[in-house]
Amino acid sequence: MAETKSETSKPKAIETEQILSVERYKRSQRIHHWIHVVLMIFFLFTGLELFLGMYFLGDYSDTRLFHVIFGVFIGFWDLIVFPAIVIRFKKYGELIPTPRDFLDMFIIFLCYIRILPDSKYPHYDYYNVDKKKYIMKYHPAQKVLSLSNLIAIFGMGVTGVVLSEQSNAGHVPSIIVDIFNLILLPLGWFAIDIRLVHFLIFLYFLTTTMVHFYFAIIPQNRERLRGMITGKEKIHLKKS
Amino acid sequence: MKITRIKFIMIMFIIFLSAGFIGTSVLGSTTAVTQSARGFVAPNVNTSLILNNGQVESFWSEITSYQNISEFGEGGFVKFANNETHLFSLIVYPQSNDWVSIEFEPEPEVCMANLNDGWSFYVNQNPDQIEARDIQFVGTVMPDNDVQMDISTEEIFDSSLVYLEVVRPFETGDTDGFDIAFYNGSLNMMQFASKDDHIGFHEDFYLLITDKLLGEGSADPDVDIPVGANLGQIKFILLGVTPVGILVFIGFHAFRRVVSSPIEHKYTRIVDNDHNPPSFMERWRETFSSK
Repeated sequence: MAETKSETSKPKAIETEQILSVERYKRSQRIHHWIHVVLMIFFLFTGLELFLGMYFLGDYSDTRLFHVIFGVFIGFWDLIVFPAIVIRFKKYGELIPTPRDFLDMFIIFLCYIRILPDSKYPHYDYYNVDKKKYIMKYHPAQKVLSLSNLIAIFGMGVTGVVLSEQSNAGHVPSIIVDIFNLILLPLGWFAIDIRLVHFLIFLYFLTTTMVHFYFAIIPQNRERLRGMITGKEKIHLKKS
Repeated sequence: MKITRIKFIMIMFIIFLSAGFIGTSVLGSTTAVTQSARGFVAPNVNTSLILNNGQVESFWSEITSYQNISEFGEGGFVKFANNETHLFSLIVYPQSNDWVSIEFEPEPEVCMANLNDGWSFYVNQNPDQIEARDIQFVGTVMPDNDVQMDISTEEIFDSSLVYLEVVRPFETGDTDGFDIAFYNGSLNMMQFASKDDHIGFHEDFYLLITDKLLGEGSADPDVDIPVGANLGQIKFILLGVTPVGILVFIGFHAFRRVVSSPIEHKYTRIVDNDHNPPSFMERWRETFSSK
C-alpha cells in the first residue's frame, strides 16, 4: 500500500477518502525537464533576437554564437539524454502515443466544442495502488508533444546546422553537413526556404511552450505541477 | 433522415476539411494581385557621371525622386538616374556602417534569393575608402563576387556620411554574374540591407528607368507591382498572429474550463487496482456507443 499521509472522514460515512502521496516523476526526469526549460528559454530568446535584429547581450556575432551553443546543448540534452532516461526507466510505454491517445485527443476536442457531453471526457491518469505506480499518467497531448518535440528538435538541428554552415562553413564535419543537406533535399525540390522551415519550427516551440505553461499552472493541475517540482503529488483514494 | 451524433461529427469534419481546401485555394491565387509600391524613378540626365573629381555631381540635387533607406541608418538615402546607356546611383549612408548592400530582383520575393544581382560596399575605416563589389546572391549566405566587375564608384566622406556615386552600364553582358539588363522603361524591384540591419523584413522598392529628362514627367508615378509571397512579411505576420491566437485560446479555455464550467470529472485520477487503461475499441465504444 502506498504511504498514507492523512485520512479524512466525511459525515456520510459511506465513503472514506485517503490522500496518498505518490511518486509522479523521478529525479532524473525532473532534472532533465527543468534544464530543458532553462535551455529552451535562452534558445528561443536568442533566436528571436537574431530574427528581429535586436541584441540585448552583445552584438549579432555574440548572439549567434550563444544561439548555436544553446542549440548544440539542447540537441545533446533532448536527443541523447532524454531517450537514455526513457530507456533506463522503461518509460517508453508511458510516452509513446498510441492510436487510443489520438482518439482521446479527438474526444477531448469534441467535448471542448460541446459536441460530446463532459461525461465522455476521457480519464488519462490511472494509478495502481498495489503496484504503487502509475500505469498511465499523461494527457494524450503530452505524449504526442514529447514525441513531436524530439522531431522538432531534430528538425531545428538539421536546418540550423545547414544555415550555420552556409554562413560560416567549416565548423561542422563535412560528412554531417552532407547528410543534413541530403535530408533537406526535398525542400529544394519544392523551393521551400530552409530559413522558413527553421522559423516555422520556432513557431511550433513558441506555441507548444505557451500552451504547456498555461496547462501547467491551472488549478486542476496543481498537484501535477507539484510532482514536477518535488517528485510527489497527493491523490485521492476513495474507499467504500 | 435522422441525424445521429456520428453523422453530425462526420459532417462537421467534412465542413472543416472543405474550409481548409477553399482557404488554401483563395490564398494561392493572391500572387495575381498587384499593389502600389514605393520606389525610384531614374530620369535621363543627358550627361555622364564623372568620377574621381572629388565632388558629388550637381544634377543629384535636382533629382527629387529619392527614398530614405531605414536599413542604412540615420541619414541614409538613395537616388538613381540614367543617360540612356548607363545607370547612375547616389548612395548615402553613415560611415559607421561597415557595409551596405543592394539586391536587384526580377520581382518581389524573399531577400537574398539565389542568383539575384546586387552590389555591396564595404567601408575601410583606415584609410577612409570604399571597396565596391558587383555580386550575385547565392541564398542566405555571403554573396559571391562576380568575376566581371561592372560597377565603377567614387566615394566622398562628409560629416560622418559616405556619399557614393555608382556607374553601371545598362547591359554588362555578364551572364555568369546574372546581371540585370536595364533599359528605357525597365521596371525591377530591389531591397536594401546593411551590417546594422540585415536580419528580418526588408521593404521592396521599385526602380523605373525612364527616358524622360529631369523635370519632365512625374517624379513619383503610381507603379503597380505583383504581390508575391514576401516571406519576410509572412514571417512577421505569423510571429504576431501566433501568440495572439494562443492567448485567445488560453483566455477562452480559462473562462470555459477553469472558471465557468470545469470538466465534470475534474481531471481526477483513477486510483484503484481494478481499472486498466482502455484499448482503442473500448474507448470508442464507451464514448460513441448509443448505449
